[in-house]
Amino acid sequence: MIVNSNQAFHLIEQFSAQAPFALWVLDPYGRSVFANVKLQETLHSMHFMPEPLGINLFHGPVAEELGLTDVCQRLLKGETIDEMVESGGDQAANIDGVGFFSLHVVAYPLLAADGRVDNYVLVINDVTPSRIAQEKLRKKINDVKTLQTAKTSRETRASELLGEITQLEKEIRTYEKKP
Amino acid sequence: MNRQLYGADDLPEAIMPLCQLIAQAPFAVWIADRTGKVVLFNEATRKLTGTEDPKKLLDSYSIFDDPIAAAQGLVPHIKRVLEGQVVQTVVILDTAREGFFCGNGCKVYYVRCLYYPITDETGVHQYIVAVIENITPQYLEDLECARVTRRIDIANNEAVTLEKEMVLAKNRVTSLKKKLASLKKAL
Repeated sequence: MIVNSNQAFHLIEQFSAQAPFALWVLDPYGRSVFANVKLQETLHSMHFMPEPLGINLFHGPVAEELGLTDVCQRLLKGETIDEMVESGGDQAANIDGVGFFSLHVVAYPLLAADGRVDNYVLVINDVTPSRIAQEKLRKKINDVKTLQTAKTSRETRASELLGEITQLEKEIRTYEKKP
Repeated sequence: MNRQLYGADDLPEAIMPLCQLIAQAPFAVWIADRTGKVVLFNEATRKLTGTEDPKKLLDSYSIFDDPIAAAQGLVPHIKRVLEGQVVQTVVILDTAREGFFCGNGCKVYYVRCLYYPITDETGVHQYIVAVIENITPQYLEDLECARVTRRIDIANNEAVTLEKEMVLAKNRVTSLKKKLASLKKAL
């Protein structure tokens, strides 16, 4: 044993409280039992103002508002989730618009020794800026195809111009040789 | 003993739910003290590193002496966590390079490491927490994006060069046409 139970309790408690990522712990019915400061900050940045501790994520409108409906449904089936969740209307059209949010969500059930669910945990990171940058890059990748098509057409035109120059130079030489 | 949280045996039942939060996390978590010695780690850490003997890791491992962290110049950055900084980085985790890791079946991963301090009530940063995620698929995708970005730059440069050459060629055609017309007129 490296740490005693008091130290372990302190460490684990502070691991959660001082984490730089949002941490949300729910009871088996979806009621919030723990939310760290970072979760409140993340929700506020999404213009979601209610205090997380008063929320039931499995019942009511909050999951839908935060784009977490599918996550909650799969969590209730016992799945462990590690994926990007996007919210804010039509994401494709609104990728850098106001109200668009991209969250990296890791969610998992905490199981008791007998296999029943004691709690559900959600670890949430707001990755909106990097998602917007990624989408811009994806659009740029599409631009490469357009550029390649344009390049082929320009190369053809350049080849025609070179042919025209050769022909003109030949004609000029013919005229210059004439007395 | 909780088999999924190493370093803290015989925990009271009352704090087990909180312990399970780390113990059952799908991402690796370890906590080191100010000397760099790991005092707690979870099952995901054991699986990621292929550690077969958790006691060996707890007895002999220090993050400040970690060969991968040292080789990648990370140790000074990790030490800054004890000054209150949060550090995030991506490193190549080659399990063959760690002394306590597996003998056979060693693996190489790209992992995202997030280090942050646990601060006591007097404001002293007492512990370093590391949260480690295996991001190999995403990282390889990012590398591909970086390659595509380079291709975009090359394609853009080529397009600019071609455009300049075409302007020169068009000017040359105009000039030759004028010269030819003038020769024809002179004859």
